[in-house]
Amino acid sequence: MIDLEELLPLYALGVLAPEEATAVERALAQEPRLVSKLAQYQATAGELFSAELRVAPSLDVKARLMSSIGAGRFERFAARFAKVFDVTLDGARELLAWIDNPGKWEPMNALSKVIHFPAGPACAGADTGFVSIAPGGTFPYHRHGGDEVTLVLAGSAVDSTGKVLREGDQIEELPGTQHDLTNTGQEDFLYASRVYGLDYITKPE
Amino acid sequence: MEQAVAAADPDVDLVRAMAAGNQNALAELYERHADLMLGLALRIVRNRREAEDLLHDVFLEAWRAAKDFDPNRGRVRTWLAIRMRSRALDLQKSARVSRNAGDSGLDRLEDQEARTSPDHGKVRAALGGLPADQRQAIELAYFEGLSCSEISERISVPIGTVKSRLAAAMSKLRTTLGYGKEAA
Repeated sequence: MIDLEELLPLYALGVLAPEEATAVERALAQEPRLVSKLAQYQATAGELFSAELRVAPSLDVKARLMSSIGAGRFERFAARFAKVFDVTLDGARELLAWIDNPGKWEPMNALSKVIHFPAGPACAGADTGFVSIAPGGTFPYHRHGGDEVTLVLAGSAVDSTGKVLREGDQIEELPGTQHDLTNTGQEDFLYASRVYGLDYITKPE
Repeated sequence: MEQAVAAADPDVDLVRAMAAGNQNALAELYERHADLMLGLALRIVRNRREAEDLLHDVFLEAWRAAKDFDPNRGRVRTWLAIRMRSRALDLQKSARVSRNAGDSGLDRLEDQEARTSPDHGKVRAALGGLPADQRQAIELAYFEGLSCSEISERISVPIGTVKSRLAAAMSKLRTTLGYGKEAA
């Protein structure tokens, strides 16, 4: 005969085998006296985390959290971002929060970096990501096989055709277009991009 | 007794405000508890980057679940800690965190930026007051998420002994932490 009284603290800790847990649940349904006792053990188990030391998080975690709930620095782009990348508004916010996560960025070269992110079904086959180019940096010369959408989130840049891109711009390029992109401003040039079939090619003289 | 605890919990108003869409309330709740939750996450996953991602996810989950919070079932920070522990254990058990990945996390845990909370001393003392074998069993259960049979395997002790140690430990902790009398 299992001593159900003895199993209560183990149930509260979540360490029982499934059949024992079921036996405890059956007993709880029949004996209200056990319910309040279990609550005491659950409250006890619920305090154990306090034994740990507090550790201050990096500042970017809060920035990311606020972005994810719609109070971030890129919130004004969330609705457009959701449309371009075929994600929900909440999904857009969570992806925009990645910008403030240093662990997400991968270096491209000395002055630029990228985050690849997953987009919705309407973007199947596309390369979707954030690109950040430091002042003076250039995104290398390339041609796209399909169309390209660029949503500028911060800063400004000039492409090799002379086109100026500024914060808030949404630029759509046709298939076959080729260019590079140079940050001519004083702050990082940051954009979200949806591109199909990107080929890095030699820039014509 | 739990209702009294809940009524005295200043975080309850914050969670109510969150449920009504108040973003500042989440910011404040984060300020109050982020470092405690990060300490818990680091203890389990032992990798700072993974732990900080969990911290973001748990507070985002709390924002979305604020409407479901029931103050009669316990304190807000316990509600957060249950979510954090569960997510951290899931991650720790998945292949995503390598066993050696986390030494940096542990280092951070021990350095000067780590601070103590009002309840830290009380719970630490309660755990410290347990016989070593009972404390070990509790730590394996809570921070590593092991079941009785897994603990039995890990420390090569019969499962019945593991159960007795855990039950005895929980009974003492319950009394020491003020949640009820020992052996009613």
